[in-house]
Amino acid sequence: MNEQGRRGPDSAPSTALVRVSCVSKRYDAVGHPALDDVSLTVESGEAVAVMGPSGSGKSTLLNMIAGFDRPTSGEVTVAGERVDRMGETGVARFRRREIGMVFQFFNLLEDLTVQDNVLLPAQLAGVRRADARARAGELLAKLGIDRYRDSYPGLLSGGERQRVAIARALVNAPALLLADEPTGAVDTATGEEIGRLLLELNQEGQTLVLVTHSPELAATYARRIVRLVDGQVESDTSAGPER
Amino acid sequence: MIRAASGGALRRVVQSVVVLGVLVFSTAAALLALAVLTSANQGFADAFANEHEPDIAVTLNSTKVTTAQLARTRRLNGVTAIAGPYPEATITASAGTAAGARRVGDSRNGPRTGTARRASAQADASAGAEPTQRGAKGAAGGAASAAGSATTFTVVGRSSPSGELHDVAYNPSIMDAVTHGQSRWPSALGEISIAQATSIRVPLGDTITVTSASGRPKLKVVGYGSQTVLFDGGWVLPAEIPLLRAKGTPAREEVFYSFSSAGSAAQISADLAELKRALGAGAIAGSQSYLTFEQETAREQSVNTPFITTFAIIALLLAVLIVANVVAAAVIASYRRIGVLKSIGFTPSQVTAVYLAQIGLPAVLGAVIGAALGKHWALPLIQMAPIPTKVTVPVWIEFAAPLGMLALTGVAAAIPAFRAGRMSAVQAIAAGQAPRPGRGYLAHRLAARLALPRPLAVGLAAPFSRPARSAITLLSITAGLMAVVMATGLSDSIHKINHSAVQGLGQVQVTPRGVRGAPFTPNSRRPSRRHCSRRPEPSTTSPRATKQSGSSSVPPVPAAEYPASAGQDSSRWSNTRRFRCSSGCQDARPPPSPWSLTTARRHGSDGR
Repeated sequence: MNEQGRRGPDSAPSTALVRVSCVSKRYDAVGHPALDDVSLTVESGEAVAVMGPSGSGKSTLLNMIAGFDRPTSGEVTVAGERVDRMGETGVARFRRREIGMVFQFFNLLEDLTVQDNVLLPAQLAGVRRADARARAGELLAKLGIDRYRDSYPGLLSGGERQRVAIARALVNAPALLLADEPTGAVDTATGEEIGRLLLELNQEGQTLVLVTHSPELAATYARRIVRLVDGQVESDTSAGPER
Repeated sequence: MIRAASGGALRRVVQSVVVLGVLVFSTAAALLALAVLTSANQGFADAFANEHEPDIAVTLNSTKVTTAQLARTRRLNGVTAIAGPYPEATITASAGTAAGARRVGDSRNGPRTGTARRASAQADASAGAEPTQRGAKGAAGGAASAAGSATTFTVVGRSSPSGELHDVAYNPSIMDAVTHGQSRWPSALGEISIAQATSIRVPLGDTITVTSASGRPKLKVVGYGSQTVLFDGGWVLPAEIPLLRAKGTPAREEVFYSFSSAGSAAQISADLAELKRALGAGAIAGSQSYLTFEQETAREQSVNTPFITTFAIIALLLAVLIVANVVAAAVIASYRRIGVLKSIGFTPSQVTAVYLAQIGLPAVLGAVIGAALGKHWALPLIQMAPIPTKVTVPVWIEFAAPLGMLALTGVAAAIPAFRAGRMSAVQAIAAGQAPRPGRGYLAHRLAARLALPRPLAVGLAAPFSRPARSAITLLSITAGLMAVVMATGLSDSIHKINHSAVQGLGQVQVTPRGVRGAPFTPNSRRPSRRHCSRRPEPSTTSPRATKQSGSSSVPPVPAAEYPASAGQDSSRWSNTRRFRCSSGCQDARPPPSPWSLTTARRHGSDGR
């Protein structure tokens, strides 16, 4: 890992896709904050791995960027819009348009087929059904799971389910793909497979913020690693292979 | 969103079935309640039209009215129909033989067959549903059905049960228990058909003795007739009437009138004034309007209404509670799913809509089925009930009941569904199904101190972790128990009411067990059957009433209980009687308690 110096909002160019400025998050009045004055920018097209021990605030940071949660103080801007100021409805609409989310445990809707799972965000976004189906088909084929389009998620392996989750996250071609421990619930081989897939997506221009415990995954597939400890950015370094 | 909703509904089959069942039951109950409430008097209105009932019946002093005068009244302004004159006489009669003293359905006559019981129930039910016979013309005490006792009522001379006005059903099926379908209209002198609304019950072929007429003529009971407006107590051939008049009694005739305007007491009053002007002073000895009977019918029909309404309210309450509980459970069980939906871009309102739609699919189906059942299945059932009510379902109710239930269901479901919508995705995904921190801690600590097996203590404290949901569950169970208790109590009460009516024990007061007063019980009834000396008592002084035998020791029925219609000669026409039983059976007045129930079967109080 080659440390190339800290990056903060001040050094971020104006093209930053994600800008986190002095964000703190407290869940209660006492105790240590989950995030403590965190600042971070993510450029468009970057692949950033957020690492840190349990309780360091990785997932909290991801939730702030996705608009799932609001900071106690500070600003979160994604694609030029203040996510922290949006209402629930506004952030939901923003999320379906600009953000794709991949979870550790996939979080697929088990009663919908693979194809319907992938189609759902597109339909929510108002994409025409034919276009949505074409896009879903394209993604399923690209991720190698098109033969499961009419299957239910419960019948798939962990890796296959995570691919479905990635397809669902990408169906609206979001500006930002957030992945929270995407390899945490799959075996090593499948984890590497998922990692390669994310790398490919990033190489195609997809901006990626990845929360992971795995230094290997971070080092191999992310260009930049942000390390959080006790809710603070301990390091923000460039990493990964030359691409 | 539809996919998410339908997927949820199909995934939760039990939830969907419960919601469907609840909506079926509650919609049917709501429809019935609305139908009963809005058509309480529909039966009277229909029968009034079908049987060509008059607006006013007047009793004329025959000696003071000429045929020409009477004919002129047909052309009076507003008169649309006239029937009569029919000669009439007020008689006091008693059962003429030992056999005639037998009472149909009396357990002392041996066990009753199922058919007899049903028929008796029908007969009494019908009596309860029809206007009370309380005018002197129709009043006939049950004393005539008991050996040796006598009652006074008015017989009318008619050669046919039908005419231009006031048709009489001469062989009503409701009286099959007594007549076995063999009732007929008098065809010869010495025969009488008795009004069903009286409490006289002697087998066909038995005789009654007219003790008020000279020579104590005997009349063979050949039939029982029913009438919508209870003007008459019995019918004989016109030629019989002079033989039945008591010595020195003026000849009187009954004439029926219908008017173009007779919808209110004021209009009736005006119509009657017109008649009086046309017939001259002293011509009209008395009068009675249909309005009094209509009001009485409405009151009697309303006996059913509180029960059905209460059931409907319980059903509504249950529906709301169960739906709220079901949706709350679905939301609690779906926290993670809610989080997923929000993470992929569902807005709060869309999440709310998902959960409303999950309930909506089975709810709409249940409401439609419930409305259909309410109309086509439950309505006939209620009309077969011990106190039948003619109920029709207006079109607006067919829509209002299911739509109202759906609206209520929607509100019940909206609260937890809205809560689901407002839940943050992080909370939904991270918190899962765990209760809110802090909830139930105290209960768990206290339960742990109890000398109970640990699993039991944990279970006992668990409801306090979700107090709102536990409260809803508790309310649901309470409402369900209310329905069960009321259903069983109602069945018991109705049975006693019917039995009382069959046995001629008069009005029934039903009170919860243990409540002070005089609850109607078999024990309180039996002594009255064996030992009561039933003595009819006129509530007001009436020429007809004064002819009846019995003591005058019982205070009259309050006038307010039997409102006289405008223009009627109440002293002439009202001879409702009450009976005091020596062994303490109750001559009940409408009890004040909301738990109490009083049958409005006035004829039952007439001498039995």
